[in-house]
Order: sequence, then structure tokens, then C-alpha cells
Amino acid sequence: MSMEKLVEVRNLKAYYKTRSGEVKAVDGVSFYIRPKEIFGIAGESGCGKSTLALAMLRLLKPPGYIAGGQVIFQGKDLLKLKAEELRSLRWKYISYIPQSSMNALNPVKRIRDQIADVIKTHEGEIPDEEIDKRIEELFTSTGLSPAVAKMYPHELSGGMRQRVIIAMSAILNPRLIVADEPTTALDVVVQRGILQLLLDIRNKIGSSIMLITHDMAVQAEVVDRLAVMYAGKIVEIGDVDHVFKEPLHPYTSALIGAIPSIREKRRLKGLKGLPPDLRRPPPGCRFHPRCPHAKEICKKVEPPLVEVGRGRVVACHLYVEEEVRA
Amino acid sequence: MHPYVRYLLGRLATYAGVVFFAILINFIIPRMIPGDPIKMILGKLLLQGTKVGGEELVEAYKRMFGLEGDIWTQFVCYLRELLRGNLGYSIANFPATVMELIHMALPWTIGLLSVTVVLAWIIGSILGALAGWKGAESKVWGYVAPFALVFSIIPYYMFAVILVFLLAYLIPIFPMSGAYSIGMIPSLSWSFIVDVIRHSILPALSILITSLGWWFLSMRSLIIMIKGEDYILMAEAKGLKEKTILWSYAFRNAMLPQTTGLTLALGNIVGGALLTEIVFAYPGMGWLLYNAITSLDYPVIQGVVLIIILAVCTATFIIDMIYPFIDPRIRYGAE
Repeated sequence: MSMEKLVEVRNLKAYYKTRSGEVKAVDGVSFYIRPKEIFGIAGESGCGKSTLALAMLRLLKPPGYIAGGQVIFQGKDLLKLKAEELRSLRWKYISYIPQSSMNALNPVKRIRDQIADVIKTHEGEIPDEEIDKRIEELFTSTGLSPAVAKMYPHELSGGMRQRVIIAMSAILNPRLIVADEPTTALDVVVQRGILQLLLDIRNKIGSSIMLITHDMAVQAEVVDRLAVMYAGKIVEIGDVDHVFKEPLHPYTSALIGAIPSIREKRRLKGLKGLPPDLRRPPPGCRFHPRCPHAKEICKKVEPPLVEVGRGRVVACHLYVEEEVRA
Repeated sequence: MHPYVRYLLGRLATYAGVVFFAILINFIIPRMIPGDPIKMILGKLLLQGTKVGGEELVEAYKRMFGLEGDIWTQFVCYLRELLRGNLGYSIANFPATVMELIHMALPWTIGLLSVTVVLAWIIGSILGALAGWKGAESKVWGYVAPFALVFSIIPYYMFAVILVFLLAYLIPIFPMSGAYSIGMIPSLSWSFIVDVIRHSILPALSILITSLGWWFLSMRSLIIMIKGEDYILMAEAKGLKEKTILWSYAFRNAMLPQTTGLTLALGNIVGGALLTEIVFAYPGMGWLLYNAITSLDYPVIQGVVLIIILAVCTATFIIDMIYPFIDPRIRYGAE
């Protein structure tokens, strides 16, 4: 896989203003996504995964706001683009699959018209027959019946709606698809189909996919590289096989230890305690109050994200010291 | 059977039932009023010095409404006369029939109110949508909302009095009262039409501005609510133009409750804007009802109330019929 970067996020900060202070939901996050790769973001609920997606797409609504950073896409900083430039770039280059597909479709518009809106906005007036033909092709290739196009959202099941949205996300052959928990509300069988669909889309149109899910089993199965987030920060990034085989950050190990297995009977290793209050994150490493390996330095100094070889980065004092020693 | 037809039949049955009950109540209530309305008519006629025709009137009433039979015979006769469009005679304006009076008053009310209500609805909805959409980002719209609130709170008749004082008394641009100048003969001539429009401007304005405020506020809050919906965020992520998102996504959804409001308001206009019509001596249904009440003209009161009930029921029925077309989620009863 090439080392080229399709999109690079640098030191992105997205906060929410509240009466009792700022919630630092995304606090200095940096990573990049390569072309055609599926990049996973894992982490428990409330760690800032969805905020990260919304901030990257500049869709964050008040009281949320972007406090700093850059999102470099095709040489331009998305956060600095003019509204109109950003609008014309949306969906055509970067599409988005929202967390709750249940309400993501306009309830009073037929599916066909909601997709036609996108085509017409980005490609100008196109004859209706051509649009219908494209939608039909798209639906056939994504395992949807072309009849779905004529339906209203409420006539579809949750899984079908999710399929429609995923199909819609691919209609303009975007370079990047940001999928925020696309399978969370679905049962395992439907989940499989949806994941397969995402893989098919990647293989067919060559988009990169940023897959946000707390489900480590899903991550293990589909992503190429994985970033683990904890309390608004990325704690570890690496090729998914390496991360699962040899997790470096204690939090990553804990997440992997919490995946149930049907082959071996073992006690699931839970993680004691709760994620910190993001208005007042603990000093030093944010994970230290729950970390089994916490040392004195962890309580005071925030560990930087350092490269530890083979494209892996980790933010943990256990490894910083090793680097120093080596 | 097509589901819509089945749905329609169900609604039609409900409609018929409601109308029947309305008629029943309208039939019973006057019969619970102590005293004899026909004797009252006679007394009134005597006072006016009319001596001829009194006996015949009693006979006519007894025949027409079966007043000598039991209550069921009377009800059947009442229904029969109702179907013929006969609501009896006015006491105050004998020998004019109730139907004739309503026939004279109704066009004025419908003409005045249907235009103002629809206009207020359209303008209020569009301005409300813009105000809700631009919201906190725009200074201008931030100032409009409090004004709308004030106007929607001022009772429309108070506003009517203010308008009369300002624009008919202090600066006499518009006539103070009536629907057309005294001495004019209703016809389809230009001068008469212009005269009617001139007379209708103040009453129309008083209703327009006060109800505009209400539609504005209701649309504004609907849009603000819908702005937070996932499908709006999605529309934005799709890179749609702002005006597409506002009108085709947000506004289109906000129109559903707003349309319900309009239909109910249209059903109510038949009753006239009672107090506006009094302030302007506008010869519509409200004015008719007001005069009937002050002169204890029971048959007219009864007739006007019946027409109002029918109008409200019909409006509700119409909205039931068209709603499935504007909101695809409405199901036609059992699947």
C-alpha cells in the first residue's frame, strides 16, 4: 500500500461550550488516511469518535466548535475553505454515513428524489431518465431492489435504510466515506451484509473509508489500520493485525480483552472505572486512573504520540522510556 | 378495495356521524329554551303593528315542523326542512327567512376572511421559515420575532380599533365602517369593486397582521426544531445548496402541522371574525350573529351555529382527505 496520504488531520481540536466549562471532546488528534484504505476509529462511547467525524466534515453544530487544527484534503485545509467551496466538495469527494440512519432520510421525499438531489446539485441538470438509470445501477450493485427508489423512508426497515444511505454515499464515487457506527443499530446478520457492502464499495470505486465503531470485532474484521481513541485523544495507531496481535497501549489491550469469543470459554476482562469527565480531564495521561501499569510520571506528564516502528504510534510512557533507553 | 378508498369511507362515516350529532343538538337546544318562539314572533309582529298574517304563520310553522306531533315527528320534519334548505324565519327581520339572511352575509365573510387567512398563512409561514432558519446568526430576524409576538398577542379586535382610530379617524384614508358606501348598489362594476376593496382593507389588515404573527411564530419554532433533525445534517453533508435544504427539506416537513392549522382556521372563518365585523359594522356572519343575539333572534342564531359546525366539520374532513398526500407516512387505516 502506498504511503501517500488522502487526508491528514493535524492536531484537531473540537470542543463543546457548556455552562460548566468546555468539554474537550476531541483534543489534539492527528492521523492520516491512505487512499483506498479502511481506517478504523475505535473507543468507548463518549470518547469523541463522532465529534471527530463531524469536526472533520465541518458539520459540528453549536455548542460544538472547532478550536484548532487542520484537515488537509487534496492539499487544501477543509477547515479554511469558503462555505461554497466546501459545499461543492461535500459528497462529491467526501461522503458521510451518519450514526442514526433511522432519521437520516427526509421522511416526505421518495428515496429516488433524495438521491437525485445530490446528483443534480453536484453535476448540474441531468435528464431524469439518466438519473433513474444511475440509481437503478447503483441499487442493483448494492443489493437493493430498484423498486426501493420509489418508496418513502418509512416503508423501509432499518437495515434497508442503512443500505440506501450507504448506496447513496457511493453515488458520486467519492474519495473518502466517513461511516459513523454504520452497523450499531442492526442485528448481526444485517451487520455482516452492511460491512460486506462497504468492502465492495471500496473495492469497486476505490474510496477510502473511515469506519467509526466501538465494536472491536467489526474493526478486526474489516479495517486495514486502526486508531484507538480514549477521552478525546488518540492513544494508538497501527496496522490492524499488529494492533490485535500485540496491543501496545494498556487501553487497547483492555478493549481487545473485552471481545467475547465463542471458541474459548474465558472470563471477559472488563475495565474498572469510568472514562473521565472531559471538562476536567485528569492531568498527565488521561488513562492513568484506570491503567494497571500507571507510574508516577503518568499522573503528571502527558505522554506524546510517538512512532515505535512499523508505522505504529502510541501515546504511553511505557514506550517513551523504552525509546529513550534504546 | 384500494386502501385510500377504504380510508375515505371511514372518514366519511365519521364526518356523517359528527354532522348528525351537530344537527341533533342544534334541534334539541331551542326546544329546551323556556317559552314559545312562535308566540314571540307574534308578539313582535303585533308590536310592529302587523295584524295580518299572524295566524297563518303559526299554521305554517306547525305544518312545516310538525309541532303538534311527538319529538320524533318533529325531528323528522326538521331534517326534511333542513334538506330543503329551510331554517325557518327570522324573528327580527320577519318575513325574511334565516337562509336568506345567511345567504346575504356569507359571501362578505368568506370574501374577507378567506383572502386574509390564506394570505396571513402564506406570508407568516415564509417569514417564519426564514427567521427560524437564519436564527441566531442574523440580527434582523432576531428583532422580528419579538414584534411578531406582540402582534400575535394583541387581540385582533383591539388592533381593529387602533386601525380605525389611526387610519379612518386621525388620518381618514379609509372608510370607518360597512362593506361598501351607503347608496351604492351592489354590482360588478369597477367603481363598486374598488369601493368594496377600500372598505375591506382595514378589517382585513386587522386580521392579517394579528394572525400573521401567529403563523410566523409557529413556523419559526417548527423550523428551529427541524434544524436539529438528522436528515437536515445529512442534507448538509450531501452538499446541497442552502435554499434546497431550507425549502425542500426543512420547510416541506414543517408544512405538515402548518397545513393542519390552516385548514382548521379556514373551517372557522365561516363564523366570521365576530368582533372585527362588529367594530367595522361589516355585514358578514359575525355581524349577523351579533345582531341575532342582541335581538334574541333564535332561528338565526341556530342557523348560523349550524353553518359554523358544518364548516368546521367539512374543513376537518377535507384535511383528513388530503393529508395522506402531503404526508406519506399517514396510513390509510388498517394495513
